Amino acid sequence: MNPFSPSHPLGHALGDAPAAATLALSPAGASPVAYPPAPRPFTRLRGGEPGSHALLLLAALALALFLLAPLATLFSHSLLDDAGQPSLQRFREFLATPGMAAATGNTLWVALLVTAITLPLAFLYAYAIQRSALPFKPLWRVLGLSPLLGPSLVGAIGFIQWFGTQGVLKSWLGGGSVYGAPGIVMATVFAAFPHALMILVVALATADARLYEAADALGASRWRRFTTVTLPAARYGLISAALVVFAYSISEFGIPKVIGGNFQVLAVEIYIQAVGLQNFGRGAVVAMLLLAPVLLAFVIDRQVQRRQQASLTARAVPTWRGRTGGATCRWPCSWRWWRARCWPCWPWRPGPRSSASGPTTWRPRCATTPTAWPRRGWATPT
Amino acid sequence: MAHLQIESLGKRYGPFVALAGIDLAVERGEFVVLLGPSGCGKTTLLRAIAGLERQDEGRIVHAGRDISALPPGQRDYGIVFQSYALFPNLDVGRNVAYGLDARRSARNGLRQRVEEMLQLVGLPGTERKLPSQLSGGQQQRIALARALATRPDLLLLDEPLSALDAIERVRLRGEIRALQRRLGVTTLMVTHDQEEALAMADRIVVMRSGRIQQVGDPRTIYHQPHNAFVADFIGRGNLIEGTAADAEHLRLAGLTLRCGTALQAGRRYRFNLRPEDIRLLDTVERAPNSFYAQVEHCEFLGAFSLVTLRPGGSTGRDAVPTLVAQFSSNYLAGRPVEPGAMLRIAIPPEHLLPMPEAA
Repeated sequence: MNPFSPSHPLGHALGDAPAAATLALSPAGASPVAYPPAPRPFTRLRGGEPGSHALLLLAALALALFLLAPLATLFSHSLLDDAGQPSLQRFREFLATPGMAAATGNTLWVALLVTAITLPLAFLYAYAIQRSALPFKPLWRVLGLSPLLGPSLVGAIGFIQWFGTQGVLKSWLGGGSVYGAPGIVMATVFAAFPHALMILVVALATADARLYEAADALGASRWRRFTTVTLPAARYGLISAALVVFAYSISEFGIPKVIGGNFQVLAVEIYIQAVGLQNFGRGAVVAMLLLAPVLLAFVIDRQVQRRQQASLTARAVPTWRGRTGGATCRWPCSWRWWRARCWPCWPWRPGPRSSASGPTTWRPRCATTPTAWPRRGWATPT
Repeated sequence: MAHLQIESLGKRYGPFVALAGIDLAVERGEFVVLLGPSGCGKTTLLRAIAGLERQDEGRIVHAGRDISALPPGQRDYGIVFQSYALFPNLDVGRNVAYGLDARRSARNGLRQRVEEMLQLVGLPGTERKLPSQLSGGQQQRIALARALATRPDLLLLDEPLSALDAIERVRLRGEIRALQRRLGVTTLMVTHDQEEALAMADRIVVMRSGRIQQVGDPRTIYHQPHNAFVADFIGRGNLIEGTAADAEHLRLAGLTLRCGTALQAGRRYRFNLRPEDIRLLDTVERAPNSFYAQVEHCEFLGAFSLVTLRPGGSTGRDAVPTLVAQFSSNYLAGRPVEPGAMLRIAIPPEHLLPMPEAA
């Protein structure tokens, strides 16, 4: 017999218990006290806030119109044959096309190489900005981010100017040509660098001084301290940065178009199929293929977020969406609001929000109740 | 020379004096507690000993070795922080072994040592857990195991209990003390909790504004505070100021009280009288220093009551300041103490000892 069913003698007792408790708690004659609901893992706008639903609807509409609808069209195109019947013909054709396999392979290895080069470079740069006594840090930061100022193909044109057939530095390539894979890799590293840098600068911004002290006290070498304290604290930033750079490189069109020569990559292939040959169906197949790594990156990122929360020390209470419970931060004027709202559709979030730092240097961004207030600063005397 | 010798240690942060002229000698195997309100310099002193803070002047000698300028890794100590500071990405076993790895111990000896340490702190079999899977008290035990794993000659505890809840705090403080006795490791602990200090310490160092106020065993600190600050900081107390009438007696407004030690006639003295030292008398009982007092206020606190008394029931300008007495409920045996009632109380002369620092 189910104890929760009303026919069970205990069922009534269980069902009535909360009501009785409420009555007992509230003063005689007064209406039962309404307690605020427990914080949920995902903040929702409280009902009764004017305009909130309209705003949500607007955002959802824009999302559907500009992202989901084109994606759905692409998807359906890739699954239709020439006669308009649903089939996997396009995919079969695609696989049969000579050069397509090469383009896929090229895109993948270039993206991997670009990630492997960009990540250490950006990490070193971010480390120098955040953790060293480097002079003119703001200047270095702006310099590092400067590739963002122009479109990526400007960087590619720059590389052509330096290393192309008429380039001044052509001899540096040792007889090789900049057109093709070397040029694509160089220009993409240059273009993706600021994206990785932004994430890693944030990831290295916070650190638990006490962990460094503990490592020092236990006689750890600088290298060991770096591998056991610095790197683990920044590892989610590193993963995010790697995913961003990888996705950036996979989907980059301008650079291979400008500097790629005869080197085939998928993004250019879509262009050739859809615009050059007017073969939208095959273009759609390529687009689907390009979407796969991005989706993969997104899934990995979500997993990482989950693990990151678990790995915080028990002392630190993670500021998470919906933890505020206060009066502020509920409106679209706040960054927090946008972050919470746009989170599921925004793969380029600027890195982990808390980078697994301890309670020492870590403040909730805009929580009204300090959940993880710093206990004591780095060198506050007591 | 003592096992740990600190000589005229000083430290400033800009205009703020964190430590000034600290002299302290700690014997081998001793449990010394640095006690004081926040900002008194106790943590700075501990951090200077640990090498995490560099002193401006003075020197620190540990086991005959001048460690004043050595980096933390080359000093022989283990430290436990208030916030545990366990490496969140390493499991318990690797946390405990962290200091051992650095010292390149033999690999198989390592695992054995980790097991031994976890056994010691009462958490065997937790090697594979992550710190975030443990409670606060368990994390602090792991931190203790990590600090002791390298067999340090000195154990430094920086408010190790203040992050824990009340029950866990009392339990762990007993465990730490027992462990320290068993291992015989010289220990320095920082705390702002006077009860903790009294319960754990062999000797207490009371600090204020970067200076040492008094050093002594818990009983001495409690019963014979050097000055008003120490008296006030540790336990409750009545501060009494009066002029000595002769070598034995103290004149206090309308009262003449006999004192436990010899006084200098005509000099002003300060006394600290603990509330529990005031005796409640029957009307017929004879006792020195007895007088009547009127109850002003009575605060019932369960096991005991705090009673504010006005000696002689006097009011006005030359009235004796009020005294707070603590009567155990057992002692009162259910008799109510009502405001306005006259009680006959006594201050035993042996509890009336002047504080050495001049009034």
